[in-house]
Amino acid sequence: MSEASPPPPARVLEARLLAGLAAAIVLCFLLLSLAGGKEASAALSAPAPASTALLGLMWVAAHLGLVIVAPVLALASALRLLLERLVRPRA
Amino acid sequence: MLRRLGLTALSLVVACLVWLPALRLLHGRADDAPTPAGPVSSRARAMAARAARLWRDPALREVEVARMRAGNAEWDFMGRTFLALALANVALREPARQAECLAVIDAILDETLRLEAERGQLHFLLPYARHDRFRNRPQRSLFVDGEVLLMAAARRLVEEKPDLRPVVAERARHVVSLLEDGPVLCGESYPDECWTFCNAAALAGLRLGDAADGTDHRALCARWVARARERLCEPASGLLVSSFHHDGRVKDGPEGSTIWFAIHALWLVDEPFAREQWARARADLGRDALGFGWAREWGAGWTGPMDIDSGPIVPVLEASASSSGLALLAAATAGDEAWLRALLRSLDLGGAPVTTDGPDGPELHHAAGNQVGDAVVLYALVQGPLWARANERLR
Repeated sequence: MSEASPPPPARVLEARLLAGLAAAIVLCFLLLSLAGGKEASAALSAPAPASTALLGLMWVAAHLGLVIVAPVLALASALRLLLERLVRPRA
Repeated sequence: MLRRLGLTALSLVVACLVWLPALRLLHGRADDAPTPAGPVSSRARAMAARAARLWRDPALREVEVARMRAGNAEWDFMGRTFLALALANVALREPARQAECLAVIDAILDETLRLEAERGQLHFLLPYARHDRFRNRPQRSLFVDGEVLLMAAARRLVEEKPDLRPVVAERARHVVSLLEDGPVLCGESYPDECWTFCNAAALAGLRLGDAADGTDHRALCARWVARARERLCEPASGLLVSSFHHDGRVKDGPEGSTIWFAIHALWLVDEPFAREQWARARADLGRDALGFGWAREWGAGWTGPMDIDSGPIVPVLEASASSSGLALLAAATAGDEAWLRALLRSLDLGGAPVTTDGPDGPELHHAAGNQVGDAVVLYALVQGPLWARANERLR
């Protein structure tokens, strides 16, 4: 009978969560760009159908997330791993 | 558990401290700040190329104009004014491009005057202009007359065009009449609605006309400034209000989307007064953080109604797209290079810049903006030589 694999250490889970959130933001941005979000952002400065305005607004938010939030999360993910290694008590 | 949360929080804080201050390095361009008289920057060159092509390509222009007029017919008109003024400055900065710039300015003027003749001044105003009568006797809009005067006089200061002499003379007469007809020496842009923006533009137009023709409206300008100090400055901030009734009763207090352009225009009319307004507006409405700049639409003591000119406002920061765009013009006029660069970084971050290859080289416009917004930015990047030429001739 084989033993169940032990769960990954907590530090890996938290770092993965931060990295995963960063990746999700990047993916959101790419999808919204492919959907024409950048062009739709023109709805912020001229009347446009509600769906276009919403797409444009979401693209702008995703762009700000890509430039501001995603790098912070990615950096925090790496730092989290490093900090855990530095403060982990030696066996 | 607490230890893990603490380490995660610490990671996030350190990441913010590292990344957020570095963001400014990814936005803005090295040659962004305009010199008083040198060649145009790479950003301005690309924006001018796009704007000029819009005027040479009727199909492209029709789409863009229709988009703006769907929101605000004024933007169609103001887009013309800002582009004409911008190209006048480009022509003065780079004489080799003068013919090309003047051709576009002439096209703008010809079409604008034709539309006005065919459809009346109301063509360039919002629909509510038709719901009442102007209080002034000739039933004219200072908004339209003042900006036509600005464009025509600017063109003549770059290179004389005899056909425009009667245009400048006639518009100057209308402007003077509209100002003198007003109980507070101000003209209406809409029936019983005066805007500081339009009055400042008209006064600047008079001074450009003085530089072109040797006339002298200094006394009228001095009286206007004296009356404005007395009746049109908000007591708390000392800033010029944005709109008021024909009899001087205030409608809307100081607004960024008005004051920044007024400062630029009044710099030619009464520089000490303009500098004073600049200092107050910069303190009350200007903001910056981590190398990024923005401007508020309203100051701490006043919040006005949202209107089409205010544009989108970013909550918490209270950053107004319109105010921030026009703040570029005031910052460039006042020589505030640090804030100008900060505002341009914000434009790069939030304006969705689009660079494409055009027939005359790279072209730049902002997807989140429109033609009038891009024209304002372009004008801010190149302004200086036109006001300088006017001042030389006015001495």
